[in-house]
Amino acid sequence: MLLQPSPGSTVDGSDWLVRVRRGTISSIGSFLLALLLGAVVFLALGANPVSSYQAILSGALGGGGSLGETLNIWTPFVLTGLAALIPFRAGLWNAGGDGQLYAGAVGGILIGLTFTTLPGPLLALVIVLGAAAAGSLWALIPAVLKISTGASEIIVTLLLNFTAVLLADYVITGPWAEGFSATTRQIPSSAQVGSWVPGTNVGVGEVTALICALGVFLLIQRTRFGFALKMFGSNRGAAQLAGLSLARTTLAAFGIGGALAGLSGGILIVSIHHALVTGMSNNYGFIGIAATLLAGLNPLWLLPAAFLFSVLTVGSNNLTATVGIDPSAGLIVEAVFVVLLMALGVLRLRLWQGGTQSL
Amino acid sequence: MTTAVLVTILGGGIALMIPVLWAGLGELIEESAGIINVGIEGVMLVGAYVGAQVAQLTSNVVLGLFAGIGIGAACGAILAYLYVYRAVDQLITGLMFTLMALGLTTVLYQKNPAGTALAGFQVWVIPGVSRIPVVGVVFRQTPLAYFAIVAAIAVWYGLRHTWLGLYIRAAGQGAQTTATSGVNVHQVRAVSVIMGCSFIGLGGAALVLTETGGFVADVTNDLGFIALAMVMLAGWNALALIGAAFLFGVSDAMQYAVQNISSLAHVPHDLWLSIPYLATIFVLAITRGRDVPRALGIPFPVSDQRVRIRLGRVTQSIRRRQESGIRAG
Repeated sequence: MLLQPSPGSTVDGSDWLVRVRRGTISSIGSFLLALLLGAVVFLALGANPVSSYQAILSGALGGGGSLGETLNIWTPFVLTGLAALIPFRAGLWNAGGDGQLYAGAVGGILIGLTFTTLPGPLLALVIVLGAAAAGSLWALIPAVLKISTGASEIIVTLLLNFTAVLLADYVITGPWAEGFSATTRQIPSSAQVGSWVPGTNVGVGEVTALICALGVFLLIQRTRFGFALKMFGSNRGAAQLAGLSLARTTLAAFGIGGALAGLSGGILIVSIHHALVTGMSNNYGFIGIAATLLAGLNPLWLLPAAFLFSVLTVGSNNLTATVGIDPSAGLIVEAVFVVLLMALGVLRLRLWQGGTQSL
Repeated sequence: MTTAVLVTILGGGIALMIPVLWAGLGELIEESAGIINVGIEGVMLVGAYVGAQVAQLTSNVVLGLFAGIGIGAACGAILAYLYVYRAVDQLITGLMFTLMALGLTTVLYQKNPAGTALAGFQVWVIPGVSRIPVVGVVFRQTPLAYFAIVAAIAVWYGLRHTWLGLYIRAAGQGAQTTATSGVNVHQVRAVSVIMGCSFIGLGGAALVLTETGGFVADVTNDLGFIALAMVMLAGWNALALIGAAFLFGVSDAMQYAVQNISSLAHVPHDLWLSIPYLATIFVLAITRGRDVPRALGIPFPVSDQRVRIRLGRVTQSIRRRQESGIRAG
């Protein structure tokens, strides 16, 4: 699916697969509408919508390390968003950000608990790199299946999410378990990367996310690989006629994307949890996709888009204490926002309608 | 392996497969029409929540079941509007619908945690055959289990041998071709989404009214996604779906049953749980997408339909003129 305008739609010269049509004003309109629908939910639950939204804002941006928490969750949103973005630019789907994050975390924790004799900073580096490698390998499974058998990468990435969660669960409850708690043993304290801002966990993760977003931007705009991605994204047939290899581009797109999602798993381990914990990724991959779409597949716009989603996610944790509503309320606003963007035609995905290329 | 263990696996497997089978039948109808509904998990959650609430309020499990069907159809109407008439991307919208349903049911449940302990459905024992050793457990199930098998056969027959089934499958193979031959693809797809979501809502209600004995936050725990996978494992065939759902049920039941089998006890339970996913990926790979409905996941914008319908009328009138010409000649 994806790619190429449908017969009824207009053809323009741009290479965007996802267009945020009619610009920012409609996006803001959809966001306000989503907030309004969220307010209806708050009202129905007997909470004051204004104080609910105030609670979300102060819970995400207020003092007491809450901004730090928002930035901590912003990191995996950006990285899983990039993991979806790169294949997307070539018209390929990666719905497996969660799975690649977990695979990375599993790889990272196994390294961290095995090579405990390495000096701390080196071990931290090896954990993060190992996590990226594991995430990359996990993402290569759907890529290889896609190339060799034509199995839908959408479905395979989606299903591998659940397999990766089970794999992580095995590691958590298996030989590496810490008693009966829902976590593995911790990595050596020398390998735990401290924060760079006192009173928060902000540091290496946020900087990595920023660098990765810039790197992906340059990768897409300035390299041969990026050109191939965009070429396949805008016209698959023309790209193949021009001699570009779809197989190689697919492998590279998924390999790099998976590495970025795996990297976020490694970062969560060295800088936040210091162990593999149950529920480490709370739908981060799916929200990363949403942020990527909102950003119109632009790695730099992904940074503010992911921030918007992390404010909603973290801020909602404050709802229980203030207005007595479960933090999941944030999910409603986020999801309704994206659905509205699509339903109102603000966000348009181009569709591949050529012959047998469906799911 | 003792007979007791076999009975546990078989009986547990059948009990666990039923909600997946109901939801899977719904997804199968939708996918046959070319709509992939990743919102299945969300519809199932909503069906489970409403089913549990109504069953609790009315102390009547059958009413709870119908409430699940009704709310499923309502979700189906929303999704049909988005998928079919707004021609949105089905994967993203479905995922977002699931997240929204997860948020909504969790918030509602936290506010009012009713419907947590339900009486559930009584078991119907079929006299005679239920006495057969081991296999007899198949005939000691809740009525929902028997009806699910009947429904699977009905869906199979309906899709293969009725005009609606033909339209549905045609819409799933190619919307434009189908529209050109004069079928209202949007109506057909909307009907199948609403019908499918009623089945899915029923599956959610069946889960809380037979299996879990009540609603808790995220009670479906990815069962909807399992159903989605099982439809693919079954190659979009409703009869094969019974087998696929049974495979899931058995692999889920194995994780408890193997504790009593010394040779298998050390196999981690996560491995049993991952069998349905791995089997689906394997089957998708070896069949090389042969059975996939060709138009699956491809929206059909409304503007296209208008053009195609006009084209369809022209085609038909030309054909009529030709036929009358032949007769006249």
